[in-house]
Amino acid sequence: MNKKTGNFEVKLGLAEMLKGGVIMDVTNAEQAKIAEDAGAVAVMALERVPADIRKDGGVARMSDPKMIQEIQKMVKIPVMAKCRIGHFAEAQILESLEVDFIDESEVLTPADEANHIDKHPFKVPFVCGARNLGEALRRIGEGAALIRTKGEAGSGNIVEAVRHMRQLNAEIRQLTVMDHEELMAAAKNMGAPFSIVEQVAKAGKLPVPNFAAGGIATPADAALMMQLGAETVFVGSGIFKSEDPAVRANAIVKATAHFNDPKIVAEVSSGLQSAMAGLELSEIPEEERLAKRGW
Amino acid sequence: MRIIGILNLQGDVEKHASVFKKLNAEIILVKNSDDLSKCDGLVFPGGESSTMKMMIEFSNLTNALTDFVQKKPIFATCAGVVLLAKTILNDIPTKFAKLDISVKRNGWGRQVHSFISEIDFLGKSLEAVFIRAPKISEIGKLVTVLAKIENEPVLIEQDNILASTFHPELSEHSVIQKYWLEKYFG
Repeated sequence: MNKKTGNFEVKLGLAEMLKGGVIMDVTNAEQAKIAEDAGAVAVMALERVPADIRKDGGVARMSDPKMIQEIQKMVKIPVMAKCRIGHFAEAQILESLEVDFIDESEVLTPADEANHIDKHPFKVPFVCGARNLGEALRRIGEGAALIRTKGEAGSGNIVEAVRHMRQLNAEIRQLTVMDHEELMAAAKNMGAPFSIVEQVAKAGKLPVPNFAAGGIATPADAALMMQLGAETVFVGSGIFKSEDPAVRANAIVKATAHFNDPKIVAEVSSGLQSAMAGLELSEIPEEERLAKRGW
Repeated sequence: MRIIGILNLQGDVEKHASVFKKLNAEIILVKNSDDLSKCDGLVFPGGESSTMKMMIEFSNLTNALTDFVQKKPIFATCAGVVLLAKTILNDIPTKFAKLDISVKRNGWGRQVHSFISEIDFLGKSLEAVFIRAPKISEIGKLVTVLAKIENEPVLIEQDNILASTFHPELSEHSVIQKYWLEKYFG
């Protein structure tokens, strides 16, 4: 019996299985357990949540393999981990640890300002952030099996995730009404691979799932992003920077599953402790915006 | 026309829905017991069984499902097999578990070990996609094995339930779905 592993279909398969759920940032095994018990579909292992990276400054790198392995031992749900943009050696390490998904993430300090990782040769699927359709299609061209909005990680402010999701969806809709000649010009303007542009124009959606990330802090934020077309939400600092991580995590899971039912979202939003404080975008200097990393 | 429900609390619901639409089945996406009461059969999609289990409880579906899985046609894939297994080696079974099997969550390993292979089903060779799939380690007398890989059962049937540890909805062929529709609704 011939078993094929690591091909694109198998990578895409896991992305499909994560739909309709919440992926939570965790920094140790104990938090991972809280996330799993709260109903997370996966956890993202990282050394510091984005809010702390923002506060502490310095170079943010891939997490300690020991911490990732402790998390893998603790939970049965998929374990994801972040590597720096362009840092394929970190990605190789994460693959050797058998993490289930690698996030080539702007939250960490980029290792290469010109190139993202060539993701096709890896057996582990990759997720990448995008602010617009061109960025999403370049990452898919490089082999990403999943796209998420960049939002503004660690801000606790949903405005950038909304902007990126609306931008992406508007550009997809525009492609669907273009004639075939116009698609090449669109591909040129976006700097995106023509074959994938054609595919998106025909299907009216990305060829890989499309999730939301960056600034989700409340059940209502999750419901908003899901109604805007996100197929799952990533919650980073929003959970473990709040006053009631376990309860809030569970409330966000429920709101995501029932995002179209305001009565349920109201019910799970009731009586929560304070959310993370959050930042007005104007308080974040342009050069400190994480979404600007990568291209 | 019979109405096929697809449990819509988490997972690859859309993939299942598009296959059944192609087969001209009428479908309802099930979020609560009202939705379920309109269905003649139910599909459990792939996804994370722990999340689905929690959302089934939260959505007050436990009792309705317990009743439903006793008598109506069920098609369970991957996480669905875990939700319906009476014994789970590394987790606690649900209240509505009915399949007389033991399973291990992610029994085939982490994502790097997810694979595509061929299975023999009713004399035909079919593509089967396994994503962090559960492994069936024991089967009871009531269970019929319809397909195996490396001598491990991957497609089984018990009374009104057809269960696959792989994802027929991720392959182009819809042989398994057609088999289920014809057998139970034909």
